[in-house]
Amino acid sequence: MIKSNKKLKQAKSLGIHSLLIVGAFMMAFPFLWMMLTSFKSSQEVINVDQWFPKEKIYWQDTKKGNEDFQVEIIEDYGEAAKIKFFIRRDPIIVDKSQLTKKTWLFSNFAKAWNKVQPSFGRYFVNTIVIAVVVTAGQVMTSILAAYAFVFFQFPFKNYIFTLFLATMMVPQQVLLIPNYLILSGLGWIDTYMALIIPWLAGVFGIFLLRQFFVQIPMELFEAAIIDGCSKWGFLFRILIPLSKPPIITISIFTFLGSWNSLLWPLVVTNSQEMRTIQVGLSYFSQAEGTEWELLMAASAFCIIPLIVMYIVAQKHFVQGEAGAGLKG
Amino acid sequence: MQVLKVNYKKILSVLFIVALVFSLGCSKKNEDVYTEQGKLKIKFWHAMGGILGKVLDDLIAEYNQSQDKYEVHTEFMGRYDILEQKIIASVMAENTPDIAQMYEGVTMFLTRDKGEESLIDLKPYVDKWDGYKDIFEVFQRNSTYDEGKIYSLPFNKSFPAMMYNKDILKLLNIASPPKTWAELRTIGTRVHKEVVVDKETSLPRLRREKEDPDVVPMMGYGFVVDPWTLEIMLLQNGGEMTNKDESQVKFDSDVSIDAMKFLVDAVREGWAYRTQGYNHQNDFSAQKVAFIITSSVSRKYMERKLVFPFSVAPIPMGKKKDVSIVSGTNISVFSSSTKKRQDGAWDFVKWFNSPEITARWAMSTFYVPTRKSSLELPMMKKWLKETEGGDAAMLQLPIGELEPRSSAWYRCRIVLRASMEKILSIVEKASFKGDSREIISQNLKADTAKMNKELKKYIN
Amino acid sequence: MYKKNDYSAYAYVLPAASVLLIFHIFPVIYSFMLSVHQGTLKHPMKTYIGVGNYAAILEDVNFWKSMLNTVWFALSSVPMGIIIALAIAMLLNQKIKGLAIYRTVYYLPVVTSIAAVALVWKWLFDVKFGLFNQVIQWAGLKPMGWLQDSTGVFEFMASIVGLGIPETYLMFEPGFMREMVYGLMHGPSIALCSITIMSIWKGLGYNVVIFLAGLQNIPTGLYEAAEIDGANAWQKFKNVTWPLLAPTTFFVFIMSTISSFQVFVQIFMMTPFGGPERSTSVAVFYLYEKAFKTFEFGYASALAYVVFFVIFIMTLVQRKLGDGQTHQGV
Repeated sequence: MIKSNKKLKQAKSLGIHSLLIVGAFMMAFPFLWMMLTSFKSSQEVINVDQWFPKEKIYWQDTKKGNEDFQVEIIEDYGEAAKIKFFIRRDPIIVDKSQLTKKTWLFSNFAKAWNKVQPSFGRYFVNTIVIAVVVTAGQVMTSILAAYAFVFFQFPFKNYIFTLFLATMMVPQQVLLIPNYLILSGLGWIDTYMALIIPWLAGVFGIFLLRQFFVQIPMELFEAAIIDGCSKWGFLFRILIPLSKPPIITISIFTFLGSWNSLLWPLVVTNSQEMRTIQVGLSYFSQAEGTEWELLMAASAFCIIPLIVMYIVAQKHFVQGEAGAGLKG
Repeated sequence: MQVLKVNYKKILSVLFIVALVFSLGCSKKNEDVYTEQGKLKIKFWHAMGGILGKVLDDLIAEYNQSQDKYEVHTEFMGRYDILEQKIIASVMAENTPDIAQMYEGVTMFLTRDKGEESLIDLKPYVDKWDGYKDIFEVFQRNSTYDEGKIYSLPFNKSFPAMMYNKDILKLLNIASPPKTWAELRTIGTRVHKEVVVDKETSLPRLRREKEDPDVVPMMGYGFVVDPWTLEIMLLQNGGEMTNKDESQVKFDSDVSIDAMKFLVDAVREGWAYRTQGYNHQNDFSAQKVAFIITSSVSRKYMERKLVFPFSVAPIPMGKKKDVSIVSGTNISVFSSSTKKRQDGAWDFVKWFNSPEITARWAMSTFYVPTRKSSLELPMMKKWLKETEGGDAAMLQLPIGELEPRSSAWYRCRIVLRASMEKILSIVEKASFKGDSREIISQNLKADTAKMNKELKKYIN
Repeated sequence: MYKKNDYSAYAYVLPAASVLLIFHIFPVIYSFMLSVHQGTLKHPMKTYIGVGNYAAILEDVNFWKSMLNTVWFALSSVPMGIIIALAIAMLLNQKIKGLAIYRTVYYLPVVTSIAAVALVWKWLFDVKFGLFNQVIQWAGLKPMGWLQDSTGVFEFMASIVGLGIPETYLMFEPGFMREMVYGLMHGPSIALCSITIMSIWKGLGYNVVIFLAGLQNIPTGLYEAAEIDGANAWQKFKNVTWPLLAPTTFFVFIMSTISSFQVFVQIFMMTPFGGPERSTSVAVFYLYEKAFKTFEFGYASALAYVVFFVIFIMTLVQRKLGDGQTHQGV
């Protein structure tokens, strides 16, 4: 009886695991395929029967631009070989020492990295600077505002809060035209200002923190004030240390939001020096529309930092999400 | 517990300063910027990506080296529609580049309807330039707007071209590519009937006596829906796109319905098929179709991958007259630049339209040159001799016509394209049994009304 | 101490308020002003035209088509997303080993940038060389057009079982009725469904984590009690899990609906021109086109207001319906 029960349990657990593994595979697959593609040659990308990069022969044309060509040996003469190209070019005979063999093309990453002007490096710097400043700013303004909304009484409080909340429902696209006009009036188009300052405050952060703060007993605040603690002091010495989880949540969300935003930086920047990685990627995809191995390499280095960050700080991500969900 | 005293005045004053920074946008618009060598910087926005971008950048580097007054600095803006968005947004913000490439609709938009003269009239410069007479007539018309103002010079102009697989023609013993649509139909039908894609080699071969029943027949003509083709067929058969003052389109005319019917019949007869995106080009590269019509520039992108003998011919001609329509953008100079930068911009535009440069641009991109004399240059002659079908676009220069240039035209094109797609998607279905002419005429009539509504909005 | 006005509060609110006011609230008013005007580039508010733009929107077949596309997108992505997420969350909630690993993997798409993964999916969907068509062809089926196929999904499914959709096309004059009847009969295009699949994949992890948290909040005692009563798995789900999870489900439902009505980036990246026959042109995409392709700022602003209004009404209705649900559950 007990034994069969155990067996049943094992079977059940096996079933659950197999379902979950299939699901997990499907979730991760696009990333795996992205990585596989990014290591292939342009020939392999369009070879529909081939899933993994294979060993390929390359020949470098040292006379013309040092371009690397994937080739095929059609006749072997020992020291030399006759090679065939996969593009429109007549076969030639070359010394075998000029031929190299490659399987995983790490060079695709370097190619994609440098294929944009100035380079994806610059885009990364921009993206990181913007995301860090926006995150820090938004966390600060949110804490201050939420603090006031929960612990202070002041005229029009509810109106102001409702007004803030209402902005959450407005599609971002509505804001684009007027904001563009405002920013250009300020002369901020194509500067970091345009990318940072409008995002220094966010209703989501204020809302989330308010939801957290209201759970803190008002008595705690009143007692602290009676004890002679200033309001400022209460905020920094008591409230913020207590509110680490929602603050981390907001930081993560703001950071991700800033890192991943596309439309805004696309509209308010013009010069290549000001582009973020998302914008860079969208221009890149337009310029190199069919070179999938390079596009996937570029996508990979846009995605990988996020995945690494996520795996390192996983606990906070998931807790934050769940917390955000339940309190919403 | 140590009490932290807070000075609210301090906080408020800090906030006040923040607010002040907000409102003080130190704008440095419109200032001339010089490089370290003392060259005036000229900003040029373009949408030439990939290989074309490389060619353009090399040419501009050459321009920058060739003189010591100006330094043209390019910004790649992605697709045309995004470039357009950027240009118009920059005009709104009075934060424009000095030069940009743009379609005629945008030029009109920026000078007539809404932009309130955001581009400069190049006439005064052109009057002092002896090269203008040498610009092809079609481009002169293309650049000249109301009251003889010249708001642009040609930049990257192209014509449609027909790419064809020479191996397939050889199999059928056909010496030259079709010159008319009727010939395309004849040859296309033969291709579809007599040639198949070999299962083993994926290469074209003649159909055998005893053939595998599910062998893939070779397709005669593959196309993507493009108003460009329809417009050209319409003109070739003696029709008109619009009335005289371009206030109404005429895509509901019988000639227009006939033109559309050609495509519909081609699909229904089986020798032609419609596809999407760049699939006609991919199919051509994979030797699954004998003829495709694309912009002459597409060859630049495809060439390397075409491992079989191919060539390029002008677009087929119609019943009444030999006409083709030019496409591509022009360059214009913005009026919000300083006079100095406008001079620099003109210097560059002029340089780009010099016989040698335009010839080199054409040779390395398959756009057409803008100067008549560039066709006489020895290097061009040599190139034409070496490049089979290199003249496919240039041959159409004398018969080039223009599309309407109003900025509402862009919207009309969207409607027309959707209309064509709709018609084809209905008649393509195997289950379709109705009268295809009826469907065509009904849709074109409805959509012509829609286009006229758009035009009316624009005129008011 | 109680409820005395403290004006220093304004100083705390000011930094957030000034940013929100200038860049989030004022633009809303500004774009409303734009929506009732017609003008030029440099003077967008030249002439007052009242509700002219709004009236034009109601007559605009393309607008209705884009609304229909949006509704199709929401109808296909929201329930599917919820059902799949709930199923996964329930599997994960079985006190299994390796929960953390599974959760990590399921959550991965959420943290990655939508622009980049949209490109990856565009590659998967590629008609010629994409993986999906390879697999399909392996299985001996006909390759699909994915993002390039405007065939309605109802029509597609009917054709699989050998049926056809009644041809309504010639029954109506071209215009609103024709497009709506055609759209309703044929269903969302395969192109739109392809984007739906990608969107479900992208958002799934978020819902899974929220559901999982909700499930973990259900006291295990309730299940034990149900087991003692002899309830089977389905009864436990119906009588314990579902009602107790109602607030969570409701939250997920509202959030998914709102975001499905605002879907944009994946459409923009995967079908930059609105897809075949404009079948992936959803409301926000249409708005973007009107604003930045044809530069009808007044019209686009009016469109933005219409979309905003629709979302707002929908949220209200959902709240109303949801209130009953939530109270009953908790």
